[in-house]
Amino acid sequence: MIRRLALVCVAWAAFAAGLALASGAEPADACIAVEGGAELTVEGLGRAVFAGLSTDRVRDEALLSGGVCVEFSATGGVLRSERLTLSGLGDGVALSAVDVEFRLDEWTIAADVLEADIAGAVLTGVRLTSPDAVALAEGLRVDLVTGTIVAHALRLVTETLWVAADGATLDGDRVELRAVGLTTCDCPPAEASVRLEARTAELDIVDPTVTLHGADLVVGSFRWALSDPWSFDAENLTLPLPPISVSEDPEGRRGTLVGVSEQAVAPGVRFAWDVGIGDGERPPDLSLRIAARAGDASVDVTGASDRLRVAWRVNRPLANGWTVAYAQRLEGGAWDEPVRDQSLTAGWSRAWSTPTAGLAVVEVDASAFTALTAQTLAGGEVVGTRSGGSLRVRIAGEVVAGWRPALEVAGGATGYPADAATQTWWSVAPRATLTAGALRLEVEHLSRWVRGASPFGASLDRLAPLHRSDVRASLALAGGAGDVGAGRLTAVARWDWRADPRRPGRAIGLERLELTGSTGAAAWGGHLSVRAEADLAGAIDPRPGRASSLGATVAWTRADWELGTRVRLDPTAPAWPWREATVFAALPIATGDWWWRPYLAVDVASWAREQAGWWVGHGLDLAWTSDFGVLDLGYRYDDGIGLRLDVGVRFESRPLDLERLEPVTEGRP
Amino acid sequence: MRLILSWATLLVVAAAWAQAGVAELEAIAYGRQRIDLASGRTILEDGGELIERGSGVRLVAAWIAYAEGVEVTARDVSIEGDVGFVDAPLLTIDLVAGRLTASGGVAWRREGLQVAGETLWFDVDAGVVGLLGGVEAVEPDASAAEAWIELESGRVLLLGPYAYADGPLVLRGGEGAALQLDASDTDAGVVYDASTAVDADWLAVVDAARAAWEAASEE
Repeated sequence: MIRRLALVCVAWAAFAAGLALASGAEPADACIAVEGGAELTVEGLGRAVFAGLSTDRVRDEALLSGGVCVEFSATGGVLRSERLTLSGLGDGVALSAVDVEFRLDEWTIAADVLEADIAGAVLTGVRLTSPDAVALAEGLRVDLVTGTIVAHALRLVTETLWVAADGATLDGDRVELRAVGLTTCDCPPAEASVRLEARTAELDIVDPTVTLHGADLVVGSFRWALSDPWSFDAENLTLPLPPISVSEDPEGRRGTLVGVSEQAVAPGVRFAWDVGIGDGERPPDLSLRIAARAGDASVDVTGASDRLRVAWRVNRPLANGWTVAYAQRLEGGAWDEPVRDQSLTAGWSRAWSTPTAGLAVVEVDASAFTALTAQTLAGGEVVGTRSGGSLRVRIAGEVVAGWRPALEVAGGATGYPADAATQTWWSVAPRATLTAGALRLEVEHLSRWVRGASPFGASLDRLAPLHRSDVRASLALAGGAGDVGAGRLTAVARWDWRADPRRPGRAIGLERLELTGSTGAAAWGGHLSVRAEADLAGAIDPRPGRASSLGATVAWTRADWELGTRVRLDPTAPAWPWREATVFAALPIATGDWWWRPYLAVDVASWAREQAGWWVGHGLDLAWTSDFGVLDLGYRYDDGIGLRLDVGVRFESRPLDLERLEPVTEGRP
Repeated sequence: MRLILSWATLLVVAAAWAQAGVAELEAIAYGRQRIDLASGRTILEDGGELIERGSGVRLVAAWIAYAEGVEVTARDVSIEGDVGFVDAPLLTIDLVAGRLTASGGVAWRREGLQVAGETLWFDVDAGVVGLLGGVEAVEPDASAAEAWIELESGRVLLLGPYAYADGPLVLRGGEGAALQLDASDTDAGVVYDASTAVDADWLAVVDAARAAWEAASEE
């Protein structure tokens, strides 16, 4: 009897061992012994509980019945059925059951029939469910040797995708698909007018992301091959459109820039362009910049009606941290201080990390260059060679928890043989960052001493002494119930220690003192946010050209509604103090599959004074709902804030319901 | 399987003792031998041996009292024979009722077998033997609260909590659980079918035997 019982147990052990290879997850459930029932334990593998067990020596079978539950300790998988039959107890143990449920990882696999032997388990009439997907399959096999779970003729839906595949391999949250068709339409891919077809695909049902190999986009009878691999987020699709950027020219020459940021256009080649449209401080002045980078070389061309700049550079990394670069810049026309410059630079950079606490990082940068340069300045053209070098050493670390001091020391010298001039400089910049709970404090000082002067302009290499200290502090406010009162307070201050040329005997002093606070709370069924800003340097130490301002923004949002006001005033202004009193609103309008939300911002202060420029903001958000997702297009422009553009596709979530899946009759459309 | 076969062997021996007349027994006294005229019992106060002539099985005890055709009582008993070795602190054979009781912790060992239980109960007329209380078999590795064997049919009933262990495998039943084992001969030898569904008639037999044992225990 014990021998036969042992065979029964061996059969369990074989089945459990196979399933142990098939997964490595935590127990999905626990088998609870039935009162008066029996429990079979297999050391190192798991246990089975059941209400009844009987063996039939004539049929060479063992039948487990009544709430049969098998718990695999190594895998966490749990198999349940009302009846399980073990056959071939003497040789070639096999297991069979009907109406089984097998839980593995996040998957719950229900099957009409289960047939298993030592090599593998085959389930037919499979219905798979998880928190993130449901699926039907004609058959599923658990390979008890390799541990793979392979599904045949799988039809699967997530909240946003409908997938059909000839074959699939399930590995936890990842599903590898073969001969796959998928669509975001709430319909089988074969019936979708817009779908993706691929040779293989990897689907992460939790993220959820999809990576396709050998994929085509099919729209009606048209077909386009996609890059291989091609990946997308199954919740939000980033359209393959050039990303538009809107920014201010960092050189301050071309005003607002609208263009396309750097994009890969060919292997190893990246391309960017933008158009400068001037700004409020200068007349409209269109300029075009085109930039490309391939390998170690880059070229940058900027042109306008009255000026042209061409710059190119070859940067060649060498071994052991050495780099050599050759650059040429040619500017002509009406640039401020136009430059013609050719330079050859050799640089060396290295960073060390030391294991000693408190001196975690030591960085050293060194460079040397020589250049032939011509620059047009107000006093005429300066022509000559420039040769020099610089050295920078930075030490940083965390002395104690939350306190990170750093010290940067740098120096350099440049010689100008044609003018018998030399410019030397060196700087010291200590810095400390303290983090204590919700408080973060940064203190930084920079002193730069300069001896001699470059005959060239400040836009090229002429340096001025600097002696300034900066303090930045921020405090995160923890909110109460419902995050009421949660927010942040920040303060930024700068003190310039240099002598004030307009106030003999005095330092320039307070250059900057900005206070910012923001908070929010639930209100009137929506969310109310308040932000206040104060620039007090001009009020505390009035000087020509330095303004002060107080401002606040109050906004209330509820679903797609947005209402608010933004005010800004100069308390030191002798007369009308209001710089801005803007009210803004965005209200949604839904019509069928279309959704609109116009945005308008009006400066009431300017309007009341009948000044131009009272229309300070405008925008429009547009959403079109189709069977395949929601297309979002939108822009918003605000004076002083800038332009925002939105282009994207959202895929609407649909309930996970097995009834949406018809019985599998075919795989790939 | 060896455990069940060993139990069956023990039962055959017990049956032989229980059904044998004292006249078939050879008594050897190690010391004083006293006859209680009132009860008619012969008492081997310093211990002795009883040898069943038919099987050659020998009972050795530190104290033996027997009354011809009535009963045998022995203390610190060891039985030795083809069946192996059985040790029990107390042995009582009721020759009138046909019942044998070994109690106080019964141990039985032979080649391939090492089993113990609190009490061994044998009802000759019912043909049922029970091992009651803390049934533990070291070899093979098994345990049960009770084990009942029907001699004629070979049916075995284990009452939970019970456990069978063979290598890394353990089959357990909790309190109230029962496992029936049915033996049958095949070309490959004796095989057993196991079932947690116990035959109703077999369960009735066990219930009756158990009631008889409880009644005898109260006496």
